[in-house]
Amino acid sequence: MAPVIPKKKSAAGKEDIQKDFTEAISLSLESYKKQVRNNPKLRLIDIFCCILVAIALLECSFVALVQDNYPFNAFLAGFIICVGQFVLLMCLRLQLTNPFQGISKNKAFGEFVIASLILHFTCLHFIN
Amino acid sequence: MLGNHFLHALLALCVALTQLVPCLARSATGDRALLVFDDRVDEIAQYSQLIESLREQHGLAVDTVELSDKAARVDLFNRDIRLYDHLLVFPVKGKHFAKQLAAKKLLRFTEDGGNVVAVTAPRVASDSVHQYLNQLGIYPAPRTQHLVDLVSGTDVIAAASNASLNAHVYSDAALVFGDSVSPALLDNRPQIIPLVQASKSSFAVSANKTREQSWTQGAQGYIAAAFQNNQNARALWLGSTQALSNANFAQNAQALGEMLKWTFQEKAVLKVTGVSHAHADSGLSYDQLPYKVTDDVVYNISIAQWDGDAAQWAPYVADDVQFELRQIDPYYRITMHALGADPRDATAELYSTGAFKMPNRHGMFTFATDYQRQGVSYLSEQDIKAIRHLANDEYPRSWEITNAWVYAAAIASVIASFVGFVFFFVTAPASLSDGFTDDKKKN
Repeated sequence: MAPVIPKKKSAAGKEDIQKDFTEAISLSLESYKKQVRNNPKLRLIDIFCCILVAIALLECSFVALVQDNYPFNAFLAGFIICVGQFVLLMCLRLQLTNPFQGISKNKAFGEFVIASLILHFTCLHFIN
Repeated sequence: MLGNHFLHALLALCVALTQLVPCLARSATGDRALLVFDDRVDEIAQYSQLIESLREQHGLAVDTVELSDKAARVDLFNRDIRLYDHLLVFPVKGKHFAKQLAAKKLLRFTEDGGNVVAVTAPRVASDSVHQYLNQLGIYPAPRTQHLVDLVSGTDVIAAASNASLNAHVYSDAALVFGDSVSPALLDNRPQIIPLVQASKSSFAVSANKTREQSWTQGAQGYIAAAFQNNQNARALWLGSTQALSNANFAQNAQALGEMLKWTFQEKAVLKVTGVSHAHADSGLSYDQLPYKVTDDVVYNISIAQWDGDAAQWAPYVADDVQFELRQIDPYYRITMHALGADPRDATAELYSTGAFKMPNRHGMFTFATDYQRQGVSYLSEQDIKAIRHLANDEYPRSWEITNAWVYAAAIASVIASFVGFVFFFVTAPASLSDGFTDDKKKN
């Protein structure tokens, strides 16, 4: 008798997990929508992130298409600028939603701009 | 002061005189020859035609030493200077000979560049000559064993006109070896050049009717062989004295003459007269402009061959001269084209690789020609050069590579999006306090 009960329990558990999962996803989606609804700056950051991911994917698919990574430094520069910009945007986003102590949101934005400019400068040099 | 000038003038005159006198020697190395024989084995008169041809046709100054006389001395060297260029050793017996012409002496003579003709016969055991030949890798049959061919129906061993195994040494001439031939086994080292092989139906038998094992059977035996050491000194071994005697000389004159010409360095002697390599496009040499990776380079070599009959150097034409570019492993092995006589030196043939691209790898490279063919002098020319890598401003820039345009466009679009982002971010109407933080407070 003993092994039957856990079976039933496990079946119920599976359904529960599925339920929990969909619930969690819908909850997080909802909270995300709520988060960006009244905040165009966050929306702007997220759009930019999507653009970056699309560009990086394009570059990778180009390498796969020509089956040659010959100007490898150029590929690295193009890919790293996407990754670096993405990371910097995430840092900015964190600071906007959850400001660090002693650093104002405007200061965080300024630091983001300076770091980005350095990143662009480096990548432009690295590609040549 | 005046005396000094006079001496100089005299010296110059002597040099001029020696150059004016036409060179009679046909050998590329020298004309001093020594013939060692033993009257107890064979009267020297039996070889008068051979000796005459050595003097007349080969232009040699032949000294003879008869070794049955115990007072006779054989001096191949005076201290360390070689006294003869060529040595002919007929079968000689006795301890006196072994002392005078020890195998070590013969080897030293060969190693020093002297050419040796060694003749063995079944009747005589010339121990030191056998030892010397064994050192070269030629193993003649022991005394009393001679070659017979029961199928041929005659006692006389002969070689047909197409029997030659190496056309550089001799070709298209028949040879008669007589009825007393000592066959030899040959080592398989590349310096040995087999000349005449024993027929399939022949074998060695002992004259003593003992149960001695046969030294050679069938085609494993050889009757004549040549040897060229790594310094291009040559040796010839013949298994029969009768081939050289007056009785057979008229028949053998052509083939023997060719063999002796080869041995005395009168033909098939090669030398490199010039090696050069340069940039293929500009013609600048390495010294003017060192090579870098992927440069186009052309390599030339000029090879001359000694023509003993005309006593001068002539172009050597072949289709198998190869060039090798090595850095531990060969990166290139190119068969060079013969381009005709070298314009700078008409006595040599110019070989060229044509333009080839240096590999995309920097370091020390060897430009080598290693021409080692059986029957002609070995040539080995090496030139080691450093090939540099590209300097940092010699790589193509990104805009010169079409593939890089994609990545450059990606960077440009990222930067453009960044500028747009900053613009919209700054001009965004909503304050940062809206949204998330409000929700938190409500919760």
